[in-house]
Amino acid sequence: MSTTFVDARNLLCPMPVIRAQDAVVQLQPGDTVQVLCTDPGVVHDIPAWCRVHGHEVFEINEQGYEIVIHIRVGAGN
Amino acid sequence: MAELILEPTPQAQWQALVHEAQSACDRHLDEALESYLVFLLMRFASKPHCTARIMAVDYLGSQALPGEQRAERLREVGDHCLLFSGMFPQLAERRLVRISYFVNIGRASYRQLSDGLDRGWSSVYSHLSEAFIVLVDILHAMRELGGVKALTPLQAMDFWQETGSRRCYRQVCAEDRCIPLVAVTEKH
Repeated sequence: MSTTFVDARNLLCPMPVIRAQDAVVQLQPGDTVQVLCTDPGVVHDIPAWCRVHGHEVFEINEQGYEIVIHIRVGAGN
Repeated sequence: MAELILEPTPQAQWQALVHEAQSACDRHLDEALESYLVFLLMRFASKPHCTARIMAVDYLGSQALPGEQRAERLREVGDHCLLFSGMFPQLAERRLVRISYFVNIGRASYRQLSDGLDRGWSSVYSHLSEAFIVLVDILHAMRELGGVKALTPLQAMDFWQETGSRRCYRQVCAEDRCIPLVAVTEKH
Protein backbone atom coordinates (compact mmCIF):
# COMPACT_ATOMS: atom_id res chain seq x y z
CA MET A 1 0.00 0.00 0.00
CA SER A 2 1.36 3.42 -0.87
CA THR A 3 0.40 7.00 -0.04
CA THR A 4 0.45 9.70 -2.67
CA PHE A 5 0.42 13.42 -1.87
CA VAL A 6 -1.40 15.89 -4.08
CA ASP A 7 -0.75 19.60 -3.62
CA ALA A 8 -3.91 21.38 -4.76
CA ARG A 9 -3.39 24.55 -2.72
CA ASN A 10 -4.62 27.78 -4.33
CA LEU A 11 -6.61 25.84 -6.92
CA LEU A 12 -10.32 26.52 -7.25
CA CYS A 13 -12.91 23.77 -7.57
CA PRO A 14 -13.10 21.56 -9.56
CA MET A 15 -9.32 21.56 -10.06
CA PRO A 16 -8.56 19.79 -6.72
CA VAL A 17 -11.03 17.07 -7.76
CA ILE A 18 -9.31 16.76 -11.14
CA ARG A 19 -5.86 16.57 -9.50
CA ALA A 20 -7.11 13.91 -7.08
CA GLN A 21 -8.67 12.03 -9.99
CA ASP A 22 -5.38 12.12 -11.94
CA ALA A 23 -3.55 10.68 -8.92
CA VAL A 24 -6.14 7.99 -8.16
CA VAL A 25 -6.18 6.49 -11.68
CA GLN A 26 -2.53 5.57 -11.30
CA LEU A 27 -2.98 3.75 -7.99
CA GLN A 28 -4.07 0.30 -6.83
CA PRO A 29 -7.09 -0.48 -4.61
CA GLY A 30 -6.22 0.14 -0.97
CA ASP A 31 -3.61 2.81 -1.74
CA THR A 32 -4.23 6.20 -0.17
CA VAL A 33 -4.09 9.77 -1.44
CA GLN A 34 -3.70 12.90 0.68
CA VAL A 35 -5.02 15.98 -1.07
CA LEU A 36 -3.88 19.30 0.36
CA CYS A 37 -6.32 22.07 -0.60
CA THR A 38 -7.32 25.62 0.28
CA ASP A 39 -10.72 25.92 -1.47
CA PRO A 40 -13.36 25.10 1.16
CA GLY A 41 -15.63 23.66 -1.55
CA VAL A 42 -13.50 20.50 -1.63
CA VAL A 43 -15.02 19.37 1.66
CA HIS A 44 -18.19 18.64 -0.35
CA ASP A 45 -16.83 18.04 -3.84
CA ILE A 46 -14.15 15.42 -3.17
CA PRO A 47 -16.35 13.21 -0.94
CA ALA A 48 -19.14 13.44 -3.57
CA TRP A 49 -16.73 12.42 -6.32
CA CYS A 50 -15.42 9.57 -4.14
CA ARG A 51 -18.95 8.26 -3.49
CA VAL A 52 -19.68 8.11 -7.23
CA HIS A 53 -16.42 6.34 -8.07
CA GLY A 54 -16.32 3.93 -5.14
CA HIS A 55 -13.46 5.48 -3.18
CA GLU A 56 -13.52 6.28 0.53
CA VAL A 57 -12.76 9.53 2.30
CA PHE A 58 -11.56 8.33 5.69
CA GLU A 59 -10.31 11.57 7.20
CA ILE A 60 -10.59 15.31 6.68
CA ASN A 61 -8.28 17.64 8.62
CA GLU A 62 -8.60 21.39 8.58
CA GLN A 63 -5.56 23.39 9.69
CA GLY A 64 -6.19 27.10 9.36
CA TYR A 65 -6.85 27.77 5.68
CA GLU A 66 -5.53 24.39 4.61
CA ILE A 67 -7.62 21.26 4.31
CA VAL A 68 -6.17 17.76 4.00
CA ILE A 69 -8.49 15.11 2.59
CA HIS A 70 -7.45 11.47 2.93
CA ILE A 71 -8.81 9.11 0.29
CA ARG A 72 -8.58 5.33 0.15
CA VAL A 73 -8.72 4.00 -3.43
CA GLY A 74 -11.70 1.70 -3.99
CA ALA A 75 -11.74 -1.86 -5.32
CA GLY A 76 -13.16 -0.82 -8.70
CA ASN A 77 -10.09 1.23 -9.66
CA MET B 1 -9.61 41.16 -41.14
CA ALA B 2 -8.77 43.93 -43.58
CA GLU B 3 -10.97 42.48 -46.29
CA LEU B 4 -14.57 41.41 -46.20
CA ILE B 5 -14.77 37.62 -46.11
CA LEU B 6 -17.27 36.45 -48.70
CA GLU B 7 -17.70 32.71 -48.80
CA PRO B 8 -20.66 30.74 -50.07
CA THR B 9 -21.59 28.98 -46.79
CA PRO B 10 -21.25 29.72 -43.05
CA GLN B 11 -18.86 26.76 -42.78
CA ALA B 12 -16.63 28.17 -45.50
CA GLN B 13 -16.70 31.58 -43.80
CA TRP B 14 -15.64 30.17 -40.44
CA GLN B 15 -12.98 28.08 -42.15
CA ALA B 16 -11.58 31.17 -43.89
CA LEU B 17 -11.51 32.99 -40.56
CA VAL B 18 -9.73 30.09 -38.82
CA HIS B 19 -7.18 29.98 -41.67
CA GLU B 20 -6.57 33.70 -41.38
CA ALA B 21 -6.14 33.42 -37.61
CA GLN B 22 -3.69 30.53 -37.99
CA SER B 23 -1.60 32.58 -40.37
CA ALA B 24 -1.78 35.63 -38.11
CA CYS B 25 -0.34 33.79 -35.10
CA ASP B 26 1.82 31.33 -37.04
CA ARG B 27 0.20 28.32 -35.42
CA HIS B 28 -1.26 25.56 -37.53
CA LEU B 29 -3.77 22.81 -36.90
CA ASP B 30 -4.11 19.47 -38.61
CA GLU B 31 -7.27 18.77 -40.59
CA ALA B 32 -9.13 17.00 -37.76
CA LEU B 33 -8.58 19.80 -35.23
CA GLU B 34 -9.30 22.50 -37.76
CA SER B 35 -12.62 20.87 -38.66
CA TYR B 36 -13.48 20.43 -34.98
CA LEU B 37 -12.80 24.11 -34.33
CA VAL B 38 -14.81 25.27 -37.36
CA PHE B 39 -17.85 23.20 -36.37
CA LEU B 40 -17.51 24.28 -32.75
CA LEU B 41 -17.58 27.94 -33.78
CA MET B 42 -20.53 27.34 -36.10
CA ARG B 43 -22.46 25.54 -33.38
CA PHE B 44 -21.93 28.21 -30.77
CA ALA B 45 -22.35 31.27 -32.99
CA SER B 46 -26.07 31.02 -32.46
CA LYS B 47 -25.86 30.34 -28.72
CA PRO B 48 -24.58 33.49 -26.99
CA HIS B 49 -26.28 32.37 -23.75
CA CYS B 50 -23.65 29.64 -23.36
CA THR B 51 -21.45 32.13 -21.48
CA ALA B 52 -23.83 31.91 -18.51
CA ARG B 53 -22.85 28.32 -17.76
CA ILE B 54 -20.76 27.46 -14.71
CA MET B 55 -18.04 25.06 -15.74
CA ALA B 56 -17.18 23.77 -12.26
CA VAL B 57 -20.79 22.76 -11.68
CA ASP B 58 -21.07 21.14 -15.11
CA TYR B 59 -17.81 19.24 -14.69
CA LEU B 60 -18.66 17.95 -11.22
CA GLY B 61 -22.20 17.10 -12.37
CA SER B 62 -20.77 15.03 -15.23
CA GLN B 63 -19.03 12.77 -12.75
CA ALA B 64 -22.33 11.45 -11.44
CA LEU B 65 -23.77 10.69 -14.90
CA PRO B 66 -23.74 7.28 -16.58
CA GLY B 67 -21.64 6.46 -19.69
CA GLU B 68 -22.93 8.30 -22.73
CA GLN B 69 -24.45 11.16 -20.78
CA ARG B 70 -21.15 11.72 -18.99
CA ALA B 71 -19.29 11.74 -22.31
CA GLU B 72 -21.75 14.25 -23.75
CA ARG B 73 -21.45 16.53 -20.69
CA LEU B 74 -17.65 16.32 -20.69
CA ARG B 75 -17.57 17.26 -24.37
CA GLU B 76 -19.78 20.28 -23.62
CA VAL B 77 -17.51 21.32 -20.76
CA GLY B 78 -14.39 20.97 -22.91
CA ASP B 79 -15.98 22.92 -25.76
CA HIS B 80 -17.26 25.69 -23.50
CA CYS B 81 -13.90 26.02 -21.76
CA LEU B 82 -12.19 26.31 -25.14
CA LEU B 83 -14.59 29.08 -26.17
CA PHE B 84 -14.37 30.87 -22.82
CA SER B 85 -10.58 30.89 -22.77
CA GLY B 86 -10.20 31.66 -26.48
CA MET B 87 -13.15 33.80 -27.52
CA PHE B 88 -14.27 35.33 -24.22
CA PRO B 89 -11.12 35.66 -22.08
CA GLN B 90 -12.60 38.66 -20.23
CA LEU B 91 -15.20 36.30 -18.77
CA ALA B 92 -12.51 34.87 -16.50
CA GLU B 93 -11.84 38.30 -15.03
CA ARG B 94 -15.56 38.85 -14.42
CA ARG B 95 -15.74 35.54 -12.61
CA LEU B 96 -12.61 36.27 -10.56
CA VAL B 97 -10.60 33.37 -11.98
CA ARG B 98 -7.61 33.19 -14.28
CA ILE B 99 -7.99 32.24 -17.94
CA SER B 100 -5.87 29.17 -17.23
CA TYR B 101 -8.65 27.98 -14.90
CA PHE B 102 -10.83 27.31 -17.96
CA VAL B 103 -7.85 25.84 -19.81
CA ASN B 104 -7.23 23.32 -17.04
CA ILE B 105 -10.87 22.26 -16.78
CA GLY B 106 -11.20 22.02 -20.56
CA ARG B 107 -8.06 19.96 -20.93
CA ALA B 108 -9.09 17.64 -18.11
CA SER B 109 -12.55 17.18 -19.68
CA TYR B 110 -11.17 16.28 -23.12
CA ARG B 111 -8.56 14.00 -21.52
CA GLN B 112 -11.15 12.18 -19.43
CA LEU B 113 -13.35 11.89 -22.48
CA SER B 114 -10.54 10.36 -24.53
CA ASP B 115 -9.87 7.80 -21.79
CA GLY B 116 -13.44 6.55 -21.90
CA LEU B 117 -14.02 6.31 -25.66
CA ASP B 118 -13.06 3.87 -28.40
CA ARG B 119 -9.89 4.45 -30.36
CA GLY B 120 -11.20 6.67 -33.20
CA TRP B 121 -12.81 9.41 -31.12
CA SER B 122 -10.38 8.90 -28.28
CA SER B 123 -7.48 10.15 -30.39
CA VAL B 124 -9.42 13.28 -31.43
CA TYR B 125 -10.16 14.27 -27.82
CA SER B 126 -6.68 13.34 -26.68
CA HIS B 127 -5.32 15.58 -29.44
CA LEU B 128 -7.70 18.39 -28.40
CA SER B 129 -6.43 18.14 -24.83
CA GLU B 130 -2.80 18.28 -25.93
CA ALA B 131 -3.29 21.09 -28.45
CA PHE B 132 -5.60 23.16 -26.22
CA ILE B 133 -3.15 26.08 -25.97
CA VAL B 134 -2.60 26.12 -29.73
CA LEU B 135 -6.37 26.32 -30.20
CA VAL B 136 -6.63 29.12 -27.64
CA ASP B 137 -3.80 30.99 -29.37
CA ILE B 138 -5.67 30.75 -32.66
CA LEU B 139 -8.92 31.96 -31.09
CA HIS B 140 -7.10 34.91 -29.51
CA ALA B 141 -5.58 35.70 -32.90
CA MET B 142 -9.08 35.53 -34.39
CA ARG B 143 -10.30 38.09 -31.84
CA GLU B 144 -7.40 40.34 -32.77
CA LEU B 145 -8.18 40.27 -36.48
CA GLY B 146 -10.63 43.03 -35.63
CA GLY B 147 -7.75 45.21 -34.42
CA VAL B 148 -8.36 44.95 -30.67
CA LYS B 149 -6.01 42.99 -28.37
CA ALA B 150 -7.62 39.86 -26.93
CA LEU B 151 -5.56 40.13 -23.73
CA THR B 152 -4.04 43.00 -21.80
CA PRO B 153 -0.25 42.86 -21.36
CA LEU B 154 -0.66 41.59 -17.78
CA GLN B 155 -3.16 38.92 -18.81
CA ALA B 156 -0.81 37.86 -21.60
CA MET B 157 2.08 37.65 -19.12
CA ASP B 158 0.02 35.53 -16.71
CA PHE B 159 -1.26 33.29 -19.46
CA TRP B 160 2.23 32.78 -20.89
CA GLN B 161 3.67 31.99 -17.46
CA GLU B 162 0.91 29.53 -16.63
CA THR B 163 0.55 27.75 -19.97
CA GLY B 164 3.62 28.58 -22.05
CA SER B 165 1.43 30.10 -24.78
CA ARG B 166 3.72 31.06 -27.64
CA ARG B 167 1.42 33.81 -28.90
CA CYS B 168 1.29 35.43 -25.45
CA TYR B 169 5.07 35.23 -25.20
CA ARG B 170 5.30 37.20 -28.43
CA GLN B 171 2.78 39.73 -27.16
CA VAL B 172 4.78 40.19 -23.95
CA CYS B 173 8.04 40.54 -25.90
CA ALA B 174 6.43 43.15 -28.11
CA GLU B 175 5.64 45.33 -25.09
CA ASP B 176 8.41 47.88 -24.59
CA ARG B 177 8.31 47.78 -20.80
CA CYS B 178 8.03 43.99 -20.26
CA ILE B 179 10.81 41.47 -19.90
CA PRO B 180 9.49 37.88 -19.95
CA LEU B 181 11.50 35.86 -17.45
CA VAL B 182 10.12 32.44 -16.58
CA ALA B 183 7.39 30.25 -18.03
CA VAL B 184 6.30 26.66 -17.95
CA THR B 185 7.13 24.63 -21.03
CA GLU B 186 4.30 24.42 -23.48
CA LYS B 187 3.09 20.84 -23.47
CA HIS B 188 2.46 20.08 -27.12
